[in-house]
Amino acid sequence: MAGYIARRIIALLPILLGVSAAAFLMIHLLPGDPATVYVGEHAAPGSIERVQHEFGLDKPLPVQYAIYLWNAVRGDFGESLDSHRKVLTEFVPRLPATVELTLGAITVALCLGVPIGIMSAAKPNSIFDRIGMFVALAGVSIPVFWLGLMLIYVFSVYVHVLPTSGQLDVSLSLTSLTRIDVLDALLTANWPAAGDALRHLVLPSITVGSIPTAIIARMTRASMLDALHQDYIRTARAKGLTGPAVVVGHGLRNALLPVVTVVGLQFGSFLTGAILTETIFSWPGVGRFMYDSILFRDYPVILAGILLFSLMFVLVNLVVDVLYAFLDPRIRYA
Amino acid sequence: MVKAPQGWRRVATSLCLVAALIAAVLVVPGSVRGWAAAPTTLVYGKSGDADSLDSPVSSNGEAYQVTTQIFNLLVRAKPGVTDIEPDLATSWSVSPDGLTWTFKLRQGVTFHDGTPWNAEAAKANWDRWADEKNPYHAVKGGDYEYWGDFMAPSFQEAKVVDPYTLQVVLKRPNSPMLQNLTIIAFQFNSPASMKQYGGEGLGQHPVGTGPYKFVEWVRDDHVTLEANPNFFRKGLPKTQRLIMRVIKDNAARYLALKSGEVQVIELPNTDDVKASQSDPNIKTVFRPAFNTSWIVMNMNDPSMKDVRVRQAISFAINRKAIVDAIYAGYGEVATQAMPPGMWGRVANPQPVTYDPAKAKQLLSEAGFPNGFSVDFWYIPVSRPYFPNGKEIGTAIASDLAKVGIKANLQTEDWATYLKDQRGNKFPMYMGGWIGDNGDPDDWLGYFFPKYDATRAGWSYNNPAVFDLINKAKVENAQAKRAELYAQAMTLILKDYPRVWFAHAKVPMLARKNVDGLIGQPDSNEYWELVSVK
Repeated sequence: MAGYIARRIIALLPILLGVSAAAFLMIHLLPGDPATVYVGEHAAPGSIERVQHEFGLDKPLPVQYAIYLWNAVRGDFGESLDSHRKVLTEFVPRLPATVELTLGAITVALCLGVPIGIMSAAKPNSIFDRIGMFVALAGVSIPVFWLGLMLIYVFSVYVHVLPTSGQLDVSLSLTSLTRIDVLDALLTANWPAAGDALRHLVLPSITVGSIPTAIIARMTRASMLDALHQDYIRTARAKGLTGPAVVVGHGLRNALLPVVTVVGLQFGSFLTGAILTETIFSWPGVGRFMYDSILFRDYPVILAGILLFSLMFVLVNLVVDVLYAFLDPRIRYA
Repeated sequence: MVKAPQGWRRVATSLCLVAALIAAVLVVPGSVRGWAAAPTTLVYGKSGDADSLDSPVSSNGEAYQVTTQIFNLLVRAKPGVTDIEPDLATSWSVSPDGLTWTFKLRQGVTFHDGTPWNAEAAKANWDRWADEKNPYHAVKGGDYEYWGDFMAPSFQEAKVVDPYTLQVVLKRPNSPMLQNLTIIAFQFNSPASMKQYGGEGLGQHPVGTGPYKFVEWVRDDHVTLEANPNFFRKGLPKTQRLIMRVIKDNAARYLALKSGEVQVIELPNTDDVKASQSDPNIKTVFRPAFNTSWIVMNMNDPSMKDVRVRQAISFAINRKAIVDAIYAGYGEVATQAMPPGMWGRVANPQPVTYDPAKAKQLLSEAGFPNGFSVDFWYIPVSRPYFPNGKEIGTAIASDLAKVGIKANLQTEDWATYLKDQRGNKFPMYMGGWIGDNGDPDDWLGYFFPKYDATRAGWSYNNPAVFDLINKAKVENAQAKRAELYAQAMTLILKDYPRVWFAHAKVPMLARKNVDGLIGQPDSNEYWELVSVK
């Protein structure tokens, strides 16, 4: 197993190299350049050329890529063209907010998606099943930004029980340990901040989690239906086991494998969902930062972001593969 | 199928309990304490974050909204208008040759760090802006854009005459100077903070003399400011704490206002402004129209060379109907380049007429009895002067079609659009301008400085116009300058290089309990005047 994990980690390098080359090329193929955005509408004559020179954008593309790669290998991803700060300095403080949102969204997706799938499979074509599958269909069909705004309207403006945006009320102070606000508040026993951070997390998590919830629910249902028709279920029932004991105890364990795969694959959804959701909810994470950077043509930030997202995606899939072995003892990696 | 009512009932009961628990966690604390800030705190929802709080090296409007609260200028714009009033200078005079400006400085003012404000402190800032070898000048990525555009070509030196008198000596007259100094890019940093943080550090550690002191800046989230108890305008600021929150999405910003989380927002969607008119808790405050939109007809393009064609386009577009329909009641048709309230405008410009018959006749005379086809580029983003580029572009194209001009609507993303409008790619395109200060040079001096065969925006070639504008730039007397700009504009209007389209007031929305908010033409409101009841 250790050898397998090591090989997979080494295989990351060519993947990241390929991603960086493709991303670098694609970004530079986009029309418009950061110098133009940087100087804006009120540009003085000659200022575009000066800014291009300052950012090194006047060099040939392969030279720019080589310089980028050489610096990246040494851990220097360049400077943001917008803020003029190191890209890593910009990413590091924002990453925990996105991790918090992703964890929130995974929790929502699993807590809603798996039970809906199980209930639907346990009583196919019943009213539960129909409602469950309607929720799933709605989840994949409703645009994330619309759902986000509707949730804000209902829960923040109309019912007034949850905040509209942000990660923590600006009047509350919190000691930063992990920069994941809910965790920091719990670790420092700061209960008002913990409650406030949790409340801020609810709506964005539901928004990001909507599509994965739907997909997980459908996958769980399909996988469970398959499992529930197996011989061992009939045997379990013949032995006198009933309802949840059969469905959860025997059916779910065997149905879980494809669900785990889907959760891994849905990780991409969490990240792309985060880009829109963080913008709507003013969530100070990596997603909103990426969105702004793309509009600004902030090349170094976009590149580093793509690399970071790719790295996270590949690592999550590795974790999923490893989890297989634990879930199904028959799977072994040589 | 599965028949085990007992078991499933247990599962359902557990799920209900969990749901009730979650609801209790969420709802109960929410009802105990709201999210609205305390009355002594004012929360303003803005549309973007600052890039640096060192305004001389930034030309970012979002940053200026913050620095206006922390810093002062020698002179500033009066609330709600662009007229000048004293700020850190109490009076000023200029020598007859226009080369020496003398400023008497306000006494008894200190920076937030206790450093006294005097002529030495003022000179330290002028030296930093002007001298590339000054130890605090170089800031990576910072380009002293306003200094470079407005002061550098004429500046010679800043001299300390006595502790409270500063002299600015010029190489050649710079008549718009005083008006230019009302831009917050000419803010005064504490000299002690320059030493402490260096030029690079000033962007994160702003220390000024303004109504609010800097507390913290969480990037992309908020800036917190605290009242300066020693502010020289007594009785101000009116709120203890000012928080400027960044909520980039227009709809989300509006919802934050509706829920009471923020008390004022800028740049709401047009539909939300309409909807808020029936909301008893929300009122609309306007920033005066300090912008102009237009359609540039690229005279470097063969199709636009004939003045009759340009005239025909002007007559063919029903500007009033479009402005009435799309600007939600806060637009007005433009008759010339500069918005109302500016000096130097033409007193009685030609009225804007919609006359498709005359347009057709002019096209016939110009040799296009059946019209012609042209690529018409519409602006891809919402700007105050063009709130909905596509909708307005479509309406214009539809009007042009009625006289036989087939306008092929085109657009591209904003970055590319900005780049291409500096070239010759667009034969006809939508553009606009938001004023930087109240000087006509910022308008006419920028649009019509010279002829350029490679640039659509500067494709109008009339040396008489350039001459008048250049004369106005070095003339001392404002009345004479106003006359020169008006003469230049009269000539421009005869040649139809652009269709002057609209000026738009810019709405802000505020909770009803917000008092004293006055919209500023340059969007940098004086929050010191605002209180929450």
